[in-house]
Amino acid sequence: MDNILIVDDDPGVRETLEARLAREGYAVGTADGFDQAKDALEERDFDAILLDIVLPGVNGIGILEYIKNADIEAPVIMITGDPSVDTASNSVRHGAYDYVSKPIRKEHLLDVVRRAVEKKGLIDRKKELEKRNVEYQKELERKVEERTEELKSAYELLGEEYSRKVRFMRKTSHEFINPLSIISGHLTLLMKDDLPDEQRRRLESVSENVKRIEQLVQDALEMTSEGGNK
Amino acid sequence: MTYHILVVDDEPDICELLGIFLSMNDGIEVHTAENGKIAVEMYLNLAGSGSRPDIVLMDIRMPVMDGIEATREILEHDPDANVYMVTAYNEPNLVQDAMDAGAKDVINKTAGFPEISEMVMGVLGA
Repeated sequence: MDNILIVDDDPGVRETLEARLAREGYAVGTADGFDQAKDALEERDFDAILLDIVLPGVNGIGILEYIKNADIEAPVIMITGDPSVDTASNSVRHGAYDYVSKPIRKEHLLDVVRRAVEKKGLIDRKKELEKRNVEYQKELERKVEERTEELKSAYELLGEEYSRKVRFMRKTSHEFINPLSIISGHLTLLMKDDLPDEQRRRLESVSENVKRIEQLVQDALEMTSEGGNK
Repeated sequence: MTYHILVVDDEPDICELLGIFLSMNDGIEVHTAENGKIAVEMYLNLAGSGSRPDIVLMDIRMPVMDGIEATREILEHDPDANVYMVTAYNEPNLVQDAMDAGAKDVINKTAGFPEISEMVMGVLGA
């Protein structure tokens, strides 16, 4: 249900307007001047405000200024006693949405109020969209941050895993060197002896294969070197 | 004349094989030690008995006392000692430590015993 606030010091005008609008299905609040208007505006959100321009104390323009300064977004329809263009344009300049002149014609009143309420609906919708947009943006940023963190730790984990494997491979390769040197040494000594062809052929094959392993170990050491090796 | 060579390695096979290949050359007497501590004692004993090692072939990684520390101690007693590191480890910082300790050079263990033996003979000028 759309909320309308009527601000008028004349109880007759208030009652008439309230009755008309209530019949159309609006929830109506009333105020006789600035103080009551202020209380009502603090209490709930209105979709349109009907505001008499001539009021004792703070007049309609003063209340309009208060409404605008307080960032209340309900469109304000000024009620002017005479159809003076000057008064109407003055209120529009202060941020009024529209105005109705006394005596107020019912159709005109309902038409202006309906348009004002529609406008408030658009304002609310726009605000809602902006709010959602900001939330979406924040959510997106949060997700990007989260994924970046995930990627970062995955990358670090991979890096650690990789270094661990490289160190293991390097250490293992080193461990091959002494046994290979010993095998090579023994082979060299054995092959210095006078050997039957068959035995020599077999030892040569062993020797060839030891060389192949030595080459693999050298390659592994080079590949896993920590840079700047002599 | 006879050249004395001290071979230091915790692998008995390495000591034995290096000894055999070096001994194939004339005038070479090989002594072996299985760790740095024994090497230092042996160096001092040999030097004391007039058989100061002309070259020490020193492994780096050994139990009890490693080759770097042993080199440092030998050099402390004999600043003219010729210590060569024989190692499979080609990490630059290990090489640097060996040189800082006073080693003359680093010989790559993967070169093979005949080649190492040849290198040593070259250094001795024999």
